[in-house]
Formats: sequence, structure tokens, C-alpha cells
Amino acid sequence: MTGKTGGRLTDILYPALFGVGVLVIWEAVVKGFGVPAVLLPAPSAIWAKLIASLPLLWADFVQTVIRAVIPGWIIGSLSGFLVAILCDRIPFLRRGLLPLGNLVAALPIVGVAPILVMWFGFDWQSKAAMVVVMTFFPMLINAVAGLAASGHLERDLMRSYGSSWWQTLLKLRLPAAMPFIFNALKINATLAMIGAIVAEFFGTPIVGMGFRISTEVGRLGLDMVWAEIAVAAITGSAFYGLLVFLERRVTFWHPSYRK
Amino acid sequence: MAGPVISARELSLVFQTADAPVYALSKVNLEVEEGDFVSFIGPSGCGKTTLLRVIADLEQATSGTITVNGMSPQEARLKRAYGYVFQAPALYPWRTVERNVGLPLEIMGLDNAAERVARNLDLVNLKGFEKKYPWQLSGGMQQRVSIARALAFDPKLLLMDEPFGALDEIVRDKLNQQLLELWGRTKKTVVFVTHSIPEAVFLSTKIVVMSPRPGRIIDVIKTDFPRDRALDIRETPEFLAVAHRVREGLKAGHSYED
Amino acid sequence: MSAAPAIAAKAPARAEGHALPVAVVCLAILVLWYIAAIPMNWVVTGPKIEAAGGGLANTLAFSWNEARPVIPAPHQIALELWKSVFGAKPWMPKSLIYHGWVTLSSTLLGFLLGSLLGIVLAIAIVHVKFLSKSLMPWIIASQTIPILAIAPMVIVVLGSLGFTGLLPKSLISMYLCFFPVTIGMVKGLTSPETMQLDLMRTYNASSAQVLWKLRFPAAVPFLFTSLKVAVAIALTGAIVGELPTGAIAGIGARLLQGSYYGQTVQIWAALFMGSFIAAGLVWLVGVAERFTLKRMGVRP
Repeated sequence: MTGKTGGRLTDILYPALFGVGVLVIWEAVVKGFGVPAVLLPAPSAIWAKLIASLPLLWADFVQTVIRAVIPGWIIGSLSGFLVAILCDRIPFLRRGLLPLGNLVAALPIVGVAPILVMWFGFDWQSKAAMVVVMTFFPMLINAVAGLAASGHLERDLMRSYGSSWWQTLLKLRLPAAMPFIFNALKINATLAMIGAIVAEFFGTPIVGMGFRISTEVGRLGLDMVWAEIAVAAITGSAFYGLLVFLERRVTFWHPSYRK
Repeated sequence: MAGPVISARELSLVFQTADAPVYALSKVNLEVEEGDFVSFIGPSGCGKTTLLRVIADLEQATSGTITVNGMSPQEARLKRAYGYVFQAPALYPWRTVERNVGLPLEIMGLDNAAERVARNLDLVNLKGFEKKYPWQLSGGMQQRVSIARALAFDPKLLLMDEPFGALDEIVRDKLNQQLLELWGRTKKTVVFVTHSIPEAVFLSTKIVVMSPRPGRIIDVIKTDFPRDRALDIRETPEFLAVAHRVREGLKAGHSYED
Repeated sequence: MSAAPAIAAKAPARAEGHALPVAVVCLAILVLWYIAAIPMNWVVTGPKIEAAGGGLANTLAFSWNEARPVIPAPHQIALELWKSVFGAKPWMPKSLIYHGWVTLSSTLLGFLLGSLLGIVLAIAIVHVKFLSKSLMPWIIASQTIPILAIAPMVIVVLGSLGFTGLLPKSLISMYLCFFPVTIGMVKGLTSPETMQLDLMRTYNASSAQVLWKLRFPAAVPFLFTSLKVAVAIALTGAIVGELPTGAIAGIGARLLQGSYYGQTVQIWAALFMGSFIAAGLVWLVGVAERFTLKRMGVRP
């Protein structure tokens, strides 16, 4: 296939074929070799379980995604952003906080889950807190990098206009920082899902995606586990895809979008 | 009748580096009258851009005095006395051409924005390109937008730092011609930094020859070519004589040695 | 799942102008921590302070030395760390070195496997157009799925097949860290400029030669950046791998135990131990990076 439409078609066709191929092989192997369902259920079985358990899956989704992931992602990203602006205003703070932020970003943050459960209780609040902790630092680091990204000439231009700090921030540095901010928002979308689910491994009322996964694993109800994973996968991809769409609208000007 | 637009006396700028102090500017004396087209020419390191930036209050001198429009460079900057054109267009890629030209008007809170933008785009012959984005324009066109932006808020003074340096010679010739016409029409005072001798001689009423280590003025040459000159003037004996004098000045300042 | 475009080297203080601000921020955090401990522990310490007669001295003493606090004071954590590291024989379950090593071993194995997989995959993707188009979207999509969520399942399934202990946890770590390595290596292998590639074409160089002489050296900086991210994630994966099946050894296990038995200080000590290991690993990769780049003549 040649030409632009040919190229776009293969962009979608190849991965789609690959995915379908994997599903087909999976089904064939499980059915053909008689793999026990407690080990690896067939895609058809997972689908059946998914359809049969919609109310339960929905309840889990509400508990984990609506109550923990989304609020936590918003609060964590927003606070990371605000602290980044503060760091921009106060260079001393930036020089002190950023190396620490880079350090903390490398640490196993999931480890604070039990502590958060202790502080905020078993319910969704501790999971949302987990998400806030996990999403704060990637946004801080990326936003600081983004605020520094505007070019030297562009900043001199603003100076030549006698522009105030606020005007320079709103008209130059924030738009120039958007690619970095969206990078962090996308990373945070994934981290938020992981944070909420893993936090549920440490204690939760009897609802939630992490809860369902860990209990069903204990009961060897693997088809339910895979059904939850499928929901998590769809949610994660949809969230990410939405951000990619928004990113394209906001940072349409970035060279990476030009051929 | 006001005094000179720019007046520098014994202006010096020294900055400390790890090895030794660098004398970017050393006891510069200069006067620029209203309506002048002044070029600073010299090799890299001669202080021409530094001098321009001191005038613009983008850098501060370490000794000596300088006034712009009779006040300090900082006051002049805060009063929006000049428009600055950089070596690169420095357009914001997320704004269309007309919004880029309107940027200073937004910041300064000036009204009549639409009319000013249209008028200045017309001045640089870019009517019709208002809704385009910077990456859709060629380098020369982007630089013209940058000039329109510098003129948008009607400053009396225009500071230009090697604006055509990144463009090829043919485009450069065209833009030189257009800049000259624009200057003729608007009667601005222009300070223009370049490292091209023909460009400096073609455009200017006064050529300031500078040399490095330390950055200083070697010669100031006044020219009086006719206002409505064309590019062919570059082959006339008068032109070549001035160019020769510039080159002699550069040699005297050791600009051609390593 | 990288948390930053690049993770800075562990020691921030070497660059001029960083040492003092970092020290001040750390001091500020310490002070705020001690101050916050008072109201936060009140739920537990309040009655005891009242019983002792109130007053500032009592408040401070009780808030900062509670055995089952809501938030332990920094010196309590330091003491617990000291006890668990130096006060217990390293092969005993009481020792944090023992637990640290259990987690570290699966981290290292997973990291090694994941990095190798990532590099091989990247080379394949760069050279086989079909793979690039069919595989890359899935690899990227796979990272939007909360992979850590299936850690329990992997552990249990492999457990029922007879694989326990080191291997399943390493597989989780491996899965988590191959992605940043793949992405980083692909970026690095495709980073040479057109001019540099054209030069190779004028020499009629084979793909393998171009790979070894141009693409791979160009990719080394990208590789090290992703390795830093990968090693940190591998550790997180190993810890999470210990959670679901109630493992009894490892940092994650320690966190779980502390959580079940309400041993707050134990949790914090385990967390700090995990952090030290993470920071140490990233620092080691940084050392290897500086050494390698210096040998390659890259400007520091």
C-alpha cells in the first residue's frame, strides 16, 4: 500500500490484526490444550463472565475510578502544578525542592499505601490520597521543566514590552509549558489507576477493583479477575486516549505533529 | 527640538568569567539623532549586540551613562519606547500571524488593535496572511511578521539584531529593499546590528564600525546616498568607497586576525 | 510509567547552588514533621498526656515517643532502622537486611531480564517495519493498563504451576521495566541524524554495521536514562508482587505485616529501607552511566 491513506490504514490495520490474532491464538490454545480455567480462562469465558457481572463491575468501577482515581488525579496534578508555579516564583525553593522531587519520584511510592490507610481509613479517601501522592511529583517535575522551556529570545521579547510576571506567565510560559504538562497528565492517568488499585490491596470495604482482584485471585475465580482487568484496561486506555485528544487540540502547534 | 534619541558616554560593560574579566564594551561614545538609520558592524565579540541590548535595557552597563529619549533605558523600556527585532523571528507557534502581531498590544493594553495589526501587516506586504500559523510561512516571511509586530505599537525607535542573518542572500536583498522603503515611509529611528558590509552601507545614514577585545568603536561613517536608492547602487564607486572605509576600519581593529 | 523525563542523579548537592536550598528544604520538612506529629498523634497520646498532668514537656515527650503512633517521629524511625539493620543478624526475619535482600534479588533479576528484553525488542522494532507498526501501539497501550493490578494473579497462577518465590516476582518486575527501556532504546536507536545515516550509506555499510557503529553508541545516553526509570519501577514491582499472597519475606511483606498488626514504626522503617534501596540502585546506574559516557568521550 502506498500513499498517505495507505500508510494510515496500515497504522490501524497491523496492530488490530495483531490484537485479534493474539485473541484467536489464546482461545485456540486454551480450548485446544484443555488448559484449566483456574490457570488461564479463554477469552470467550471472560467475555461471558463480564456480561454476567455488569452490576458488580459497575460498583467496583464507581468505588475505584469515580471516587478515588479521578478526584485524586485532579488534586494531585493541580497541587503539583501550583507548587511548580511557586517554585518558579521563588528560585530558592525550586533549587531545594526539585532534586528532592526527582529523588522521591524514583522511590516505591506504593509503600505509603498502608500509612495512608491508617490515616484516612479503609474507604475511598485513602485510595484518593494514594493517587494524590503518586501524581504530585511527576506533575511537579514536568511543570517545572515546562515553565523553563520557553525560549530565551521569546522571554527577552516580553521584557522589551515591559510585560509583568503574570502577563509573561499567561501569554508565553504557560502555553509553552503545555506539552510538558500534558506529558505529566498522561503519565499521571496511568499512575492514578495503579495507585488506587494497589492501595486497595491494603484494605478496603468490600467493593473496588483492587479488592475484587485480590479476593477473586484468592478464590481462583480467574475469569472474574480477567474481567476486572479488561475493565481496568478499557478505562485506562479511554482516559489516556481522551488526554491524547485534548493534547492534540491544545498543543497543535508543536513540531512533533508536523511530518 | 529634543536632543539625540540615544546618547551614550564612556559606556562600558565588563563581566567576570572563571578565567578573566571580559570587556564586552569599553568606553563607547555614541549619539543617534532622530530619523537616523544607524548600523553597528563588526565581527562576533565586538560588542554590537551587547550595545543594542544595553540600549534596550536587556542588559545593564557597568559604568558610563546612556540615555534613551532623554531617560534611562529602563524607563524607556517601561514606557514602551522601542520595538525589538531579534535574530530569529521568535513568533509564538500557538498564535496566528495576526495574534502574534497583536501580542504587544494585548500586553500594553492598547486599543484599536485590529486596525494596527492590519496596517502593519500591510506595511510589510503580508496582507492576506493573517490567519496563517508561523510554521506555514517561510523564514523571510516570519521575519517580516516579526518586524510588523515590532511596529505594531508605533514606537519611534526600532532596534534590530541581525534580523536577516539567517536568510539566503536573495531573500535578504529583497528584505533590505523593503526595510528601506518602510523606513522612508514611517520615519522611524533605526539601530541595526549586522555583520554584512554591503547591508550596512546600503541601509544606513551612519555606520558604526566596532572591533573586539575590548569591544569598542573604531570609526563612525556618515553616508548620504539618495533616499530612494535601489540595490544597483551597490556597484557605484561612491558605495564601494564607503565599503572600503568600513573594511579599513575593521582591519584597524584587528577584526581579520585570529 | 516513568515519573519524569529523566531522573536526576541521586546526589543533588554537587551542583553549585543546590546544596544549601536542598539542606534548607530538608530541615524545613523535618521541623514540620515534628510539629505535625503533635496534633496527629493526639488521638492516641491525648489521654496519656492528660493523665500525666498536661504541660509542654509531657506533650512533647508523649507525642514523640509513642509506641503505636499515627505518625512516628523521625528519630523513632531512625532507631527502628538501626535496630533492624544493625541489631539483628542479617539472615533473621527480624532484620531489614534480610527482607531488603529478598526484594532486591527479585528486583535485580527482573531488571536484568526486562532490560535485555527491552533492548532486543527495540532493535527488532527499529529494523522490522512490520513489528514497529503492529507491536508499538500495543506496547504503548499495555502501559495504560494498570499492570500492577494483575500482579496477584501472576503470582497465584505461577504458584499453582509450581513456581514460587523469586521467579514470579521477577517476572512482574521484568514486565514493568521492559517498557521504558524499549521506548528509550527505540528513541535512541532512531536518534542519529539523516546526514550521519547517509554517510554510512556512502560506505555501503550493512545494517549490522550501522547498528553497532552508529545507532547503538547514539542510543547509550537514552539507554541509561531509561535504565534509571526501569530499576526504580522494577523495585516497585517486586514490592507489589509480595503483597497479594501474603508473602512473609521482603519489603512488601514487611509493609503488609506492619499494616495488619498496627506496627506503625515498622511500616515506616520498611518504607525507608525500600527507599534507600531504590535511591541506591538509581545512584549505581548513574555511576555506571557517568563511567560509560566518560569512556565514550561525551562532555560531562
